[in-house]
Amino acid sequence: MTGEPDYDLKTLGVEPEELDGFTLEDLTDYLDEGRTPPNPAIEESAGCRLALDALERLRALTPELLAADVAAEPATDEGWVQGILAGIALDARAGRRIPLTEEVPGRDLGITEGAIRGLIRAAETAVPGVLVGRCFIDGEVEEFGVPVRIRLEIGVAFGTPIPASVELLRTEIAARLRTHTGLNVTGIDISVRDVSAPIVVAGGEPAWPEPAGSEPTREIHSLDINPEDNR
Amino acid sequence: MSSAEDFDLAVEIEATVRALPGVTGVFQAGLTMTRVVEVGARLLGLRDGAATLVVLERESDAVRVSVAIGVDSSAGAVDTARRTHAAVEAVLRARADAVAGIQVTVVHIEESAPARPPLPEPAAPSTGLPGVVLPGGILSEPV
Repeated sequence: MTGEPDYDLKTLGVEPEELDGFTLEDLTDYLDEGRTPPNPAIEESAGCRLALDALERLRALTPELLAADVAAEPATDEGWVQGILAGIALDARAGRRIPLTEEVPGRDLGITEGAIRGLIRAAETAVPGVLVGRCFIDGEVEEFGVPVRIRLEIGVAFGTPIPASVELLRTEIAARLRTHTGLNVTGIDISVRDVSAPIVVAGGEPAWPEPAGSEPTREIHSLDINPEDNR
Repeated sequence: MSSAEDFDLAVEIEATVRALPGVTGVFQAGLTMTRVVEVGARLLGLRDGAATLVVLERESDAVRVSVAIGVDSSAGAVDTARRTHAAVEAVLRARADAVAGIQVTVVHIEESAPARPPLPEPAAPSTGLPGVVLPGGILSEPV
């Protein structure tokens, strides 16, 4: 890959305005620059902040995966992370406005669906080896107290104990939703969509331990962002 | 009330909200079309540097306020939204403004402890293979 990445948020069904005029590439560049100088247009945009949060967590797990420099070799296992990136762009949308309390005349307290999705996605920080891909809130959430279900797709690192990790993630999400929302959550459905092969970043240590007897660790140098693969 | 006075009121509300415990910031509020116009203006370099993030509308003698906030994850969003509402209402009452409505929307929850714990020791190689979707796929339980 050379030059500018060829992805376009419109192909994800997300207009650029959904991130207040910025693309994931813009936000990645902004992170590369250490968020300095602070850009008020980004920092005051909830969608951008939600996307930045998710990009930072992704970067913390695979520090050089989103590097701007592109190595000559083709990447070998990008689909997993591409799916995560697609989820970040889509989930950063504000979405529906959800009441935090029962209706009181003159008082209207709410939370955006995007903020809740960000809250749910951030639960991955409590569960080693897990990355949240997409997150859905099913139900008539615009009406307070109506039963809703949470549905999310995750990827796990090879070697991660899946049942225990899923249970830990579910517990963490439930606690977060109880703390921050008035949602009447009746269930949290977690679908494990990918188990990623061991990865090392270019010139670095494995991103997670490689089990004995497994295939040789593969090396990812670059990332082509191509949402067409995730539709 | 004049536009200048309303602007001052919006500035005061924004400063009051920013100073509240649990509030991490004030964000762009308003309807999607309003935000699209704002984005367009910014891209064209036309954004008024003195603009505030609080939306304030007059309805005859009463005022309606919309504010979008970020909340620290260590503070509950519901409680923080309630405190924000109370603080905005206090500002309006202090100016003897009649209140038509106050809308508070939490648009971002900021992690106060973002550190990720270390990855676990790997299980046996048979635990998973690249691209595998687990049989049955969904692990679901009531909360």
